[in-house]
Formats: sequence, structure tokens, C-alpha cells
Amino acid sequence: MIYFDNASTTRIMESSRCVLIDALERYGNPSSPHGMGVEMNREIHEAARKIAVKLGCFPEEIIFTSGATESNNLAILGGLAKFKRRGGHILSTPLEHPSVLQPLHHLQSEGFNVTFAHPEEWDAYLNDETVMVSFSQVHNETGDLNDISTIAKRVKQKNPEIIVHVDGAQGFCKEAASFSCVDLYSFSAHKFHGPKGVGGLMVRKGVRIVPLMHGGGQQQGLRPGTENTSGILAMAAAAEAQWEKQVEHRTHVSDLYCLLSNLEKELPDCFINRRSDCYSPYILNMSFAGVNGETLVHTLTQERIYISMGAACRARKKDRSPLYSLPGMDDVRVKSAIRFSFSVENTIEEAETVKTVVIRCVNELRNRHATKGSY
Amino acid sequence: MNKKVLLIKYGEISLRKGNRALYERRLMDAIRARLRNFAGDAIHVMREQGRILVEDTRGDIDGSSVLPMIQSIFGIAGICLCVKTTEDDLKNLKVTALDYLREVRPNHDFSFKVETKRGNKQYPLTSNEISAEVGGYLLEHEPGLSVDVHHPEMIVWIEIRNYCYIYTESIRGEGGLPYGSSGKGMLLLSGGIDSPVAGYLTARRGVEIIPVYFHSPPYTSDRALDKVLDLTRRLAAYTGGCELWVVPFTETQLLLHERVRPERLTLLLKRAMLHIASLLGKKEKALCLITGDSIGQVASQTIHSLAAVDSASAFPVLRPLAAMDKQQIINTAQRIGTYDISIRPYEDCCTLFVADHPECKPRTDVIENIEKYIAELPDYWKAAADNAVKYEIK
Repeated sequence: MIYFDNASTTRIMESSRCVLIDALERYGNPSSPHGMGVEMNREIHEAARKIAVKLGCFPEEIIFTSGATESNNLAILGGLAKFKRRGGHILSTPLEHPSVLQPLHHLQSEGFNVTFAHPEEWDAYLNDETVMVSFSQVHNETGDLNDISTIAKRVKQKNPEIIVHVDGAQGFCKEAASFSCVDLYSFSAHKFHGPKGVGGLMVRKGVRIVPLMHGGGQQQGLRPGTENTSGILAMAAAAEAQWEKQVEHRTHVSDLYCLLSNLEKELPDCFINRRSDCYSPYILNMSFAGVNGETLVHTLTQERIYISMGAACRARKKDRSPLYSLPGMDDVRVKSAIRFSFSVENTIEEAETVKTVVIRCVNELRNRHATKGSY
Repeated sequence: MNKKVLLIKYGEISLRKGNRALYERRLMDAIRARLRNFAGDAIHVMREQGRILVEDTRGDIDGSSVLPMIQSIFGIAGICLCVKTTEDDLKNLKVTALDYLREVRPNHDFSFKVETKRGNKQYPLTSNEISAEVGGYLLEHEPGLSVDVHHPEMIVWIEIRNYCYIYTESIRGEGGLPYGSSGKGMLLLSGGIDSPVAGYLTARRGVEIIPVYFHSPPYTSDRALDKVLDLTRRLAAYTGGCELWVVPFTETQLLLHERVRPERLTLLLKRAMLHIASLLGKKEKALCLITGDSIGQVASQTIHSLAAVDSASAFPVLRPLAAMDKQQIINTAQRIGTYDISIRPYEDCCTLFVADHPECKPRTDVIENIEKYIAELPDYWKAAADNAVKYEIK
């Protein structure tokens, strides 16, 4: 079995799993006034501190959520709630995850003005009405990488009041960055070998978020509900382990990326789908013209190789894949797009096997469809 | 003694003369099977002079729980929640009717009439006399009531059979004939909107349906198969269970794709499906095939196209949707709960190999000859049928 779908989810690493299971035994509610609760509260705070150190913020600026989708919604809807009456301008990019695009579309219908432009074009769009910018550190479909520090700094120079939100789901613990000008940063444990169902949002002091839920007042009222204590501790353990070896991991994954991207040279009508040369080696989106992406995914499944389609299934036309915004993308390339996404656990041997199998399968599928019957 | 029971009305079965007992038995078995998990042996189902009586031996029947369990059984025309009384004298009938009326309609300002049916012709009064007596008694004791024999707001029904039954409401059943009473048919189930509706309509006429799904990995995904399993489960809610055949179709599909022109490919694929379904039908001792074709809906469903594929079937091909519009089919699919499952976006094998300009008016002899030229085809059909996998769906 070869798993090359790590952008979708990653295997929980051993140390994180041990912490998760161990933490299930210490089941105190962090809000309880007694010893068990106080002890658990301390552990949660320590987990927040571990993550805060990496983001260059205070532990109390870390809000724990159920994952990056909730964090993105909290950041965008919660961050802009105070502007609801007067409206405003929001700047984002065409290459964003649905958990950013959908809240933005919702705000559009509420009267906000939203521009989708690539960050290098932003100078033309930033204006006095702009209240927030939101962009991804790494795009989940193409692997395109945004330089957080440069972009955030430029925005703050234009107007320090603009709220800067970054979706770090695919970048946290994988891509080095400076977060000094970032106000809101989303992350999700299961993308960096932690458990599913837990993530977080960094909320800089001074940025006012209106909570999406109302309840018992936990986490300064910003995200009420009993915390997923075992998940949080396991997430912090995964973050520690992954952050420390970020550079080493990235180097290894780059080798895997290079190996597979050579498919571009070895097969005709084969394209790498990304916007620029600034990319994360963890994600490789490719099209093999003439081969339906979903069919190739199923064919590889039969060989026990697990990858994903390069363009997520979208039912309605107005939710067209962001892939269309890339230069040279047309229906043929979008329909034939597939995505390899790597983790530090993948090996060179696996990459070589996948490359060989992909070449065989693509040739076979292309040959089948090239022959047309004559009867 | 009075007790709440259910009286089941069945429609066309009463016209079946010699086969009536058989149909009744099938219907009673179906009702018993549905209620077994709910109440074990406590609920008795028995014939009651042209009706079926469903009675809880422990006391009043729990209508609100039992009704949903049996409402989807084919063959039931109506279900009445009644009060049954074992004392059939007129005085008791009057008192029971009054108590019942007071219970079901506490507000008494409405118009009504009494309708009586005597299954038991030995009863001393005629139906009209009973209606008049009981009606008069009700009027006397409930001043707000008024009689309207033409357009009453409520009808009080009295049925005199082995016992007496009084009810005011008959809830409509699915109708049709008892499931399985008309023989077996192989249903070509694609996962689209149409074929599940074709299956439902045929099952409703008493045909035991055996769905057949053509699976083409890697062109069709496991999620498409899951969708078909869910559709079969939905149909099983009406039939009480189904057996689904999943046929590995990839080899046959690729062979035809290699040899046949794109414009004719769909027709040869449909013929292959009918051949394979016929082979399975022979195993299952089926008497027909059933498809979701609707005339003119797509190129492969023009009458010319239907004619060009029919000879591939060893059995008569039933097409219950032939004269229905798409909207009528959708309405039925929504009512029976298959629509939302059918519109899940997973490709079935029919859609991936469609040509840009398929033939709409093929010649039957040409299509049949093409099939003969490809000499290996019968081996492919046989292999597909032999390697088909059966799923038991409850």
C-alpha cells in the first residue's frame, strides 16, 4: 500500500498517538474547579504554549477548535462580524480552500465587497475600505506557496488596521515562515501527523473576534465547549516533533517531488499544474491529457496506490475549481488533473514504484481510448 | 368487549377468484414479517371476510407505531384504525359508535353520515336500517352534530363481519398486488433516477424484482456501487428485502469500445446488459426483464433503439416508464425516497462511454449483425454472468 494523499490527511505519528491514548485516562474537564480539572487546564495551557512558541505569540492567543475549517470560519465570519452593518472590502485570492471561499461568498451576499486576486496584484486593490485580507500559506490543490511575511508586511504598511488572516492548514510545520504581521492563523492537526478533529486559530491580542457559538465561556468565550483535551495534547506533541525537523523533512520530500515531477518529461502531454515557481514540495498536481482524473485514481487504487483528484468535485458551476485560474488550464487539463501529496513517511522507493505504475497505467488508458471501433 | 385494531382493505385481490386465497396469504405473511421485530408473536393477522384483521393480543393496537411499518406493503389499498366490538347487538353498536366519535373528534360541530357494510348477511337489520339507527342515536346525544348524506365532513363506517368494526378514517396504502404474487423479474438498475422508479412500479404489481447492476472499475467508482446498494435498500423498504446482482462489466465494455463505432456503442452495450441479465434471469427462474427506458428521453431510448436491443433479451422486457414524462418520474422518485440517492454525483458506466452524436434511428438488422461479427461476445457475457456477485439487501 502506498499512500500519496497526505494533503487530504496524514497518518498519526507514534508519539502523538501515545499521547492521545495516554491522555484519555486523564479525563478531567479543564473548567472543573477541582484537582483533576486544574491539572488538565495546566496541560492544555502547556500545549498552547508549545504551539505559541512556534508562531511567535502568547499561549492565550491560541484558540483550540475542531480543525482548520472551523478556524477559517471563526477568523473570517467572526473577525468581520463587527463590520456587518457598515460593510467593507475584503481581499483574497482565487486559490483558496472552500472553508475560506464559502464564508467569503456568504459575506458577499451580506453586502461585503470581495476581490479575488493573486497577492502580487494586491497593491492595485488595497484601499481605504479594505478591512481584511485572507490567503493560504500553501494551496491544497496545487501546492502554490505564498510568502506570508512579505505579503503580510506589505498589507500592514498600507494600513495597519487591516486584519491579516492566513490559512496555514497545509503549511504549518512544513514551510518556514515569520508570523509577525499575521493577526489570525489557522491550522489543523491531522495535516501534520496529529489526530483528526482538532486544530486551532491564533488570534492576536487586539483583534476582536465575535464568537460563532455561544455557551459556557471556555477559551475566553471565543470558542465555548469542553475542549478536546486528548486531541489538543496529541496535536501539540505532533507539532513539537514535526517543527523540530521541518528542514530535514522538506529536503526529503523535495526529492520525492522531483522524482515524480519528471513524469512531465517522460510522458507526452503531461503538465504540472501550479501557478508559479514558489511552491511547496508536499503537493504535486499533474494532468495527463486524455486520461480522466477520476479513472486514473481508481486505476491506481486497484494497484493499492492512493492519490487524489487534482480538482475536487464541485456540483455547481459557480463553484468552479480554482484550477481554472491557472494559466493554460482548460477543461481537458482540469478533468485529467490528479494530485500526489507527500509526507516525511514516504520513501524514494515508493516514489519510484508510483512513477513506474503511473507511466504504465497512463499509457494503457490512453491506448484504450485512442482505438476507435470500426463496426 | 371493545378493542382497538387495524382493518386492512385490499384492492384488486378481491377480483382474483381462485387465486384470492393465495394473494391473501402472501399479504398476511408480508404483514406478519414486518411486525415480527416489533411485537414477536403478540400481533395476530387473520382473514376477516374480505378484510385482514391485525390485532394485538395484549390489548389495543399501537396504531401510531404499527402503521408506518405496514404502510409500504404492496397489496394494501387502505388501513383503518378501528374499534372492534364482540357484542353485535344494536344497543352496543350505538354506544360504541358514540364513545368512538367522542374520542376521535372531541369538537362536535360537524356534519356526518353513517355508512354500514354487512359482510355477515345473517344480521337481523339491513345496512340502511343500521345506519339510520346509529345515526339517530349519535344525533340525539351530540347536539352539535348534523346529518349530510351528500357531502358529510365525516363518515362513520360500520362493518359487520365476524365481529363489528367502527372507524372514521381509512389511510391510503400503496395499492398494487402482494409482492411476489406475479413472478420474478430482473431489474436493470443503473443508479440513475429512472431505473429505481421502474423497479418500484413493477414491484407494486406483484413482481419480485431482482436488481442487476453493471460495475465497471476503474471507470465507475466504489461510491457508485454504494449508491446502488443504497437504492436497493430503499426499494427493499417496500419489498421487505431484495437480492442484488453486481456484474463485472469492464471487460465486455472495453471489448465493445475497441470494435464498435462510437455512435453505436451504447446500443451494443445495452444489448450486452440484456444478454447478461437474461443469463442471470435463467438462473433465477425469472419471467421478464425490467428497464427504466422512457420513450425518447435519450438517443438509446427512441423506439428504433428499443427495437434494436430487444432481441438481446431472452424474456419480455417491461418498460413501465415508457409513457411517463421526466417530471412524473422525478415526482415518483421523490415520493419513494430514491431521488436524493440517485442524484449523488457518481458516474455509472452508461455515461462515460457516450459518443458526441449517438445514433437515434438504428437499423435492427445492422445492430444484430455487428453483434454476430464479434464472435467472442457470448464468452464475455457468460464470464460476466458467472463472475457476478450477489448481495442480500434488507
